[in-house]
Amino acid sequence: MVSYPQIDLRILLVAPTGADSRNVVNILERSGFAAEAFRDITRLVAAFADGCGVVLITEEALTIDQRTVLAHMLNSQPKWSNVPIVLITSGGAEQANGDKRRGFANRVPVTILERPLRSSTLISAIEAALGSREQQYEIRDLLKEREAILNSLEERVTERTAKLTAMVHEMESFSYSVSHDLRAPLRVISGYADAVKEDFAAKLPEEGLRLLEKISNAARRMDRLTQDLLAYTRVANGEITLEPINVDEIVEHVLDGYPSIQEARHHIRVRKPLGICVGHAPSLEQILSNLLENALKFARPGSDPEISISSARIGDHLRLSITDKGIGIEPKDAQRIFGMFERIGKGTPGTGIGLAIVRKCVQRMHGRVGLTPRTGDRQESTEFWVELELAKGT
Amino acid sequence: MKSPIILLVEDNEDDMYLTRRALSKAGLKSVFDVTDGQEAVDYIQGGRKYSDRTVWPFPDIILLDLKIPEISGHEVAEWIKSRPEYDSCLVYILSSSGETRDRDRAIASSQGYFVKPLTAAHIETICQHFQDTES
Repeated sequence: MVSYPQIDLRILLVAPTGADSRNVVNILERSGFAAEAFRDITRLVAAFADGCGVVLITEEALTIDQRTVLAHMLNSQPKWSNVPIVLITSGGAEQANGDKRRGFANRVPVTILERPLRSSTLISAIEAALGSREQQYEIRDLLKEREAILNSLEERVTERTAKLTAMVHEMESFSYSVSHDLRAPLRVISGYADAVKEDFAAKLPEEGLRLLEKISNAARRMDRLTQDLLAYTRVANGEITLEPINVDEIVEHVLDGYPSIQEARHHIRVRKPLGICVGHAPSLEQILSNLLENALKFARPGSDPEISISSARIGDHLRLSITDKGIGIEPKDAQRIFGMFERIGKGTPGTGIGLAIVRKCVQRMHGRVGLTPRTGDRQESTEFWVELELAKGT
Repeated sequence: MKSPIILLVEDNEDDMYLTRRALSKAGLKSVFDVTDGQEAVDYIQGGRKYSDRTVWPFPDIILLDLKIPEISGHEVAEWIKSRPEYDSCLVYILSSSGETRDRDRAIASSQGYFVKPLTAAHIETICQHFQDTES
């Protein structure tokens, strides 16, 4: 056993007669225990709060009033604590009302010792009781540790959340300033280039005009790039709510609302009905317009674009496919193509952000996106597909 | 048709040049300009150095850049809207971006919102409004 000066392990005892208590304290101290005697339970209760390993009581001390005081003390213990009690009785206990626990509640760990009491019996009972008390202290320490960990975790969560919120705000003000301040000089560059072209065209040689055109184009491209980057950060950071959406309506909206798509509408076949899925309407609109614009842009040179929009149910998901018979994509590029700034092939138009936006939109709707190159009967085609959860009950 | 008097509120020299050029190409020659929000308010009120209306005539049309020093374009537009004596004034907001929050706030306090650069089409829209209100 450990050393006993620790107040946690002292024995508090109540024996109404002075001789009894001196006797017991002597026995305990001789065996190396710390013990303190009280005249009644009320006085013991005051000391109990400072720490106690075992409560040792003689039966004479348990008057009806004092029983109530003791019961109240035992019930007020913290969750981890269930102090062991050693009760010394005058013997003949089994006959006494047939109550072996002497009125103690079931949860109270009571050891009953009968007189005449041998010191060795008392010592072994006290040792056993202190042993079980020590286990309670271990639990207490573990609980304290756990609480400390939980508290520090909570602090860290609060701290991180604050940091994240600050980052999102910073990101928002960054993209706001990108859209205002970064675009302004680009607009000025193309503005002046256009002004020179309009006002001085007659005085400029053809090569001069060609170079001016290059300036305008580069400025416009840079402007497009900042707009696409902004669209991407908005898609990545904006708040979205997922709800059932009618894909047919959104496709219709995209076919009507985007001038470049609208003028090619006769090349796009829609296999209705496409269905209802769970998503965020503006995000799906963004996905469809980007995919359709790509399909139109990458048509086979010299032939009209042939694009179809279809859907299929796959498990509890709706797979929405945009299939074109354009220039196609090498299987090795199929994954890379969804990355930021990835452009497959030299001299292809675009900023390389469109499909990254598509992927981000799909991720935020908890869906999947991919592409499947198909070798058909007559002509090869490319299928870009998006899988979103089906609306419940459809 | 009476040629409208235009007040251009713009702090960027290049944008000022390009917007003035676009207005001039559309035949709008009575263009006055100020470079911050406080001057815009002074001009409209005819206060401080703008007290002489024969030199600084009250504008029919105000083109307001959003990001200007002193008082922002939004605030100037809202101030004009809150004063019934300036009801005859057509206010248009010019912005570098199509940011939704800018657009929404601008639409609530002005006749229109245009993303720069100011194009011939924008100017035609503005002139159409002006003619409609004149007749």
